[in-house]
Amino acid sequence: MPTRHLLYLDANALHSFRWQQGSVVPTGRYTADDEGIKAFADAVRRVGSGLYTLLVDVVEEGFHADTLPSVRGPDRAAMLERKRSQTFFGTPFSGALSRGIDRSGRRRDERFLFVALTRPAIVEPWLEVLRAVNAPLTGIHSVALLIDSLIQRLAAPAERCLLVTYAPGGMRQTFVDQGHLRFSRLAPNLNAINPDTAARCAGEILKTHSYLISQRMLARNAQLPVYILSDSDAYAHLAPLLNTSEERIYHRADIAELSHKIGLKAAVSGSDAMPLLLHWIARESGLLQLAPANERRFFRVWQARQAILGAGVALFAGTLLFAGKLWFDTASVEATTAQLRHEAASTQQNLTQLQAALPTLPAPLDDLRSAFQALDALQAGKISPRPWLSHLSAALDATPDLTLTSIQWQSDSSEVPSKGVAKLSLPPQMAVDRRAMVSTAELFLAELARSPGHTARVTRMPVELQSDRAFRSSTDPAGQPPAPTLEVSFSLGGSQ
Amino acid sequence: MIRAQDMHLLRWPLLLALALISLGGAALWYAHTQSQLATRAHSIAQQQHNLANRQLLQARTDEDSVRDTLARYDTLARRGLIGPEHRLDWVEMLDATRRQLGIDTISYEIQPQRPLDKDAHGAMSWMESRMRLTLRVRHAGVLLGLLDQLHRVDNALVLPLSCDITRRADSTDLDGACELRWLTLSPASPT
Repeated sequence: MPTRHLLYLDANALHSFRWQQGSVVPTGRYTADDEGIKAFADAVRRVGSGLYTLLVDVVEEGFHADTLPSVRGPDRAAMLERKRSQTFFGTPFSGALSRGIDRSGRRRDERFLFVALTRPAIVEPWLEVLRAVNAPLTGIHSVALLIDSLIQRLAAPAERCLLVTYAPGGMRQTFVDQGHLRFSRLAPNLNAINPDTAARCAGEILKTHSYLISQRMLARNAQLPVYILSDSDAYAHLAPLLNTSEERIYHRADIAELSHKIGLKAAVSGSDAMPLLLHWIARESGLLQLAPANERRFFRVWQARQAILGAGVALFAGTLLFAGKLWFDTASVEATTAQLRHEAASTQQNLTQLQAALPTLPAPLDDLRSAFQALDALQAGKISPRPWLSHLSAALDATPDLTLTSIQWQSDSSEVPSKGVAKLSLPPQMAVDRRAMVSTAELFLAELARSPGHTARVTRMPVELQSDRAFRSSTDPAGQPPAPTLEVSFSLGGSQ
Repeated sequence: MIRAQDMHLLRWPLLLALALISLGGAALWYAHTQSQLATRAHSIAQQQHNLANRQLLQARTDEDSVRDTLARYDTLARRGLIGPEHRLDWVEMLDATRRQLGIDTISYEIQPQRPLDKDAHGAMSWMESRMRLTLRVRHAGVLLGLLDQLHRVDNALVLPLSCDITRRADSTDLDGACELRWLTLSPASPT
């Protein structure tokens, strides 16, 4: 964490503090003259790094409430910038605080409170010192704006009240309406409650009350709770002088209790609210600040450096984490691999022992198996012409006119286990009866192909009737007609 | 808003961030490389482990098979089916069958032995010797009987390849011509 330097500026001096573990530690006081500014410059150079936050508590403040159209985006920023420059001409230290949507009119409007430090010359010399050493300035804050954000932490915040706080800059009276800052007034030189200032403090409260009524911020005869932030000892000086009436009811807001609520660890006593306010600046983010963008550019640079370094460290950590996971996984895989190798070696040893115990084969087992399987297949095939001849004999029995002349059987094909050609002759007297010869041949062919899987084909008919072949015949009475022949090819258990 | 002239203030953080990212990237690359090597080694070890298991399982499965196969090999070797041909036994058996079936006219020729499959690469190869057999029989049943007898030969596997049977013109006898394969197993690969 960077060192937080908290600066409190009033009309007379700049008070420097260091925020350290929830405590506000004073580091110096520099009067608002050349000597003080030079001393502050030396101190800033000496301290070196750190973030600077400036809290300004001076009379020269301006507050302006206004209602503007509710817009968003760049138009909103441009509208507020234009309105701030119109309202507080001549000062760059201004800001706008949204007070919510105004639902009283027909148009959708938004209520704003514009705040500015109306005398930049008070702040400028101190900022110049910070600029000279490129010190990152987080923002310039107003005590009134701080009280606006702090008001909700009071023990019993009222809807409408007057909060009285003391700081080195003076006695500040902040009028809170509807839970928000409406008006704030600083009475210089009343920086604490003591017997000497008590009467003047009481008088300032009466003045402010009268002013609020005169400005119609407060209705006449309306009851106004007045909270005085102090401890009981300081309040004891003031209490006898406070004239409680129906219009004003005085309460003490315990400064130690509020400090404890917001986490300030150092003990707070008396009525000085400065440590409390500075601690609130340091721990709370999102507070409205009044410095223009160019005054905060070194803070932006610091934020960019932090973001770059943060991203680098995050990526480095991410890659290291992922690499660590990979490394862990790798170690696990390597352990598994070693286990597998050990098991494989053990299995291999068992295999070697088993193989050594087996009898020696004259040839590889697979080759022997293959040879014996072939032997079994050849023996199971029972290759023989007997089935083929038996089938032929059965067909001849059905056609007694046919006489077998010769056969040619073969079994050299694995697809057709048994096939062959049979040559047959018909009776010579049938030679003149061509229709009988054809009929006999067809009957014989049908007998051969009767069983499923058997195929038969005539390779030579006794009478050539195909149109693509020559047909010859003779009626020579002297010659003896030759016996007609038939040639058939058929197979068992396959296609031909 | 950061101005251009302020960018030099970000030089060292940028360099440091880049150095950190590079360092992390290098660590990641190294871890990833080691992881890949380990994964590859694991894959190889897994394959070797599986192979050894398969071989052991196969060896245990083959243990009985080896003994059965060896017994059958010995039986076939004793019968004469494995090893050199026993042509003299074949011829004597053929003559005995011829006499038994009353075949008067027979002639045959046994051709030189050759591998059944020239492309076979195993340690056991089938060898064949083709026999051309011509004979004269009274009817086809005699020829079939002869083939049945040859089928019962122990020291060879006799397979008929083709048979031509023709009725003689001058008598009722038949002329037969058959081609037979005499198969044996050779334990050594033929050269």
